[in-house]
Amino acid sequence: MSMINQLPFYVVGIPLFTALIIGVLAIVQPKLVRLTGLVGIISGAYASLTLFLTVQQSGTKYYTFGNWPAPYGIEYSVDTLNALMILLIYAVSLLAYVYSLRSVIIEIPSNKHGYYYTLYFLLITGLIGITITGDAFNLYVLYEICALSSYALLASGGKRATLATFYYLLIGTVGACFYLIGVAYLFIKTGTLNMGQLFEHIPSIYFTSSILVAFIFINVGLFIKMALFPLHGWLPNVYTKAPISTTCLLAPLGTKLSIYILIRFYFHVFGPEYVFQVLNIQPFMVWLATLAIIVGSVYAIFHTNYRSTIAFIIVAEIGYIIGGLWIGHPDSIAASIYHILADSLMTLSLFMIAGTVLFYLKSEKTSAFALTFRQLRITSISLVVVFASIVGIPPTSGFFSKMYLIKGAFAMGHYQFIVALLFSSLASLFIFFRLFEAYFYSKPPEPAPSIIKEDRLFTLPMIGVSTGIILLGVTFNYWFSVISRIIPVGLR
Amino acid sequence: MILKFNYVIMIILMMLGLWAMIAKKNIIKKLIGMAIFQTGIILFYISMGAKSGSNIPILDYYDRYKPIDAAQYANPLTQILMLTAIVVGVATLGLGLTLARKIYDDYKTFNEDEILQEIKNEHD
Repeated sequence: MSMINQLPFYVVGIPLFTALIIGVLAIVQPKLVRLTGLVGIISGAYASLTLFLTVQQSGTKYYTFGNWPAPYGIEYSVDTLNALMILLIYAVSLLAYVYSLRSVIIEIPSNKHGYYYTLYFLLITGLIGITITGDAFNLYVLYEICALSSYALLASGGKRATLATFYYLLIGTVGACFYLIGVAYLFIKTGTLNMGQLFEHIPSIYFTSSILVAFIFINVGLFIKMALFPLHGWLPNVYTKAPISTTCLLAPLGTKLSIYILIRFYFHVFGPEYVFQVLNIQPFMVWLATLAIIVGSVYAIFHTNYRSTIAFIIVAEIGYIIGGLWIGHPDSIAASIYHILADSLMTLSLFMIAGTVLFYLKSEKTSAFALTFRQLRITSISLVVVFASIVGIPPTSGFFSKMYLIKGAFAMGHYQFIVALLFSSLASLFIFFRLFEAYFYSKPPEPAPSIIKEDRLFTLPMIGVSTGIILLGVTFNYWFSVISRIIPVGLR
Repeated sequence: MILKFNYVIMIILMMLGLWAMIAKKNIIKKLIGMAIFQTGIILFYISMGAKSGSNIPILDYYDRYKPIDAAQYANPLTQILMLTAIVVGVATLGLGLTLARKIYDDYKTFNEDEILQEIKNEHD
């Protein structure tokens, strides 16, 4: 029983202490690093699954550090939304970790593996910490822990990656600082940093300008971090230059975690009443998301480099989630949260494919994909599955999020959003056929290429994530019933 | 208006930092801009905990029958929060300088324009 009470600590503590142990082992016994990491991440994943099931059964769990009650100490509170996010983070990082066991050997010099994995686990700690904390300032600190370790991990990809990461560092710091200013305005007005207490105090100050300023600063800060359309400039550069081992972990989770914070603030700090009724900016935000989808898709079409294409697909997907959230219909909000799960898996799969193509064929131009379909079996199967999901073909998860997004948008009369969704589907179909066409319409080279046997450590996580995408779609009823508990009563 | 001069200074510092990050060509100066930007926010937090005529928040003795008057002391919470924020800021600056150093090793210059020119040349 006490084991279960400690679970909210375990999910953060395990990766943190794994990072520390790996840091020591890197100097003392470098051979044990990879094994320790695997043990750490599997036990963390087990803890997160148990936590998710416990929260499903018995409701929100609270954990106070050092037994200091909430306004004085820092409180961890785990409700369905947190538990779902923690489960997602562990699922993605487990697959990404297994993949990295092989890819790190290719990309990072062997004497630095220990340090690389130390940062890797600190990044996971930061991501979990963001989801679990119930304190607005603690969230900022964990956000920065996460950001700092991700800067270092991204920069380990060589010359161009360093420069791209440098700009990301400047932009990311501004984003996090904007969030901090927003929190300062909330603190001035309410005198508390605990999210639960903020939620109680805010209704009495709905119409002050302080809360409006706080709302704007927090939103803009998070929009920078999540790369929503006019503020997406840093993303393509960073994700195309960084090592694959890092992007496999960061690309699926980094931007989605900012969306999680946004949802947390909308639903449990500012409250849905403030966001959707007091502020009258719904049409504007939906238009912004619509533009994000269209611009992301158009850029994705015009790039021929595979990783640039998927970077802009991510920009479009962020538009889906934000749009669905701001439409404010229960169906579309549920679809947005569901799409966080689906899109994380899709992005992970896309970057894993980028990895194997790059490692085996030494190219990421469209023309390389003719050889991919001829030589790399598992990679090409995953490619078909993931694009089926991005386009939205029924058994995969992408279909269900799109269906409910359209349902919600139709009910609220945001027809431009529906048009953008369909356009984006067509665009991704076009991108897929461009890759596929290279296979059908290019002459097979002489002599006929032999099939390359992909490494087990590559195929295993790729099969895992493809299965995940399909399973998430097949069991969508279960996930929607879980998510329906997240949506606040006022919006149902 | 004059009473809120701390907010005015904070905004000036922040805008100064933001301007340096955007307009300066030297990447070290960009980092200095980032540090100024963060300092502005730290100042903002510290100044909102201050009260006119208040003391530092340390109790030299505690009498059970004489309640503590909170108005006599500055709010210590904001200062403690900023200790953490300063640590974060130092870590960010340190990492930024490391990256700047690596960029210098690769391109032999701190000037943004020259770096971008060199990247263009490599591309051609």
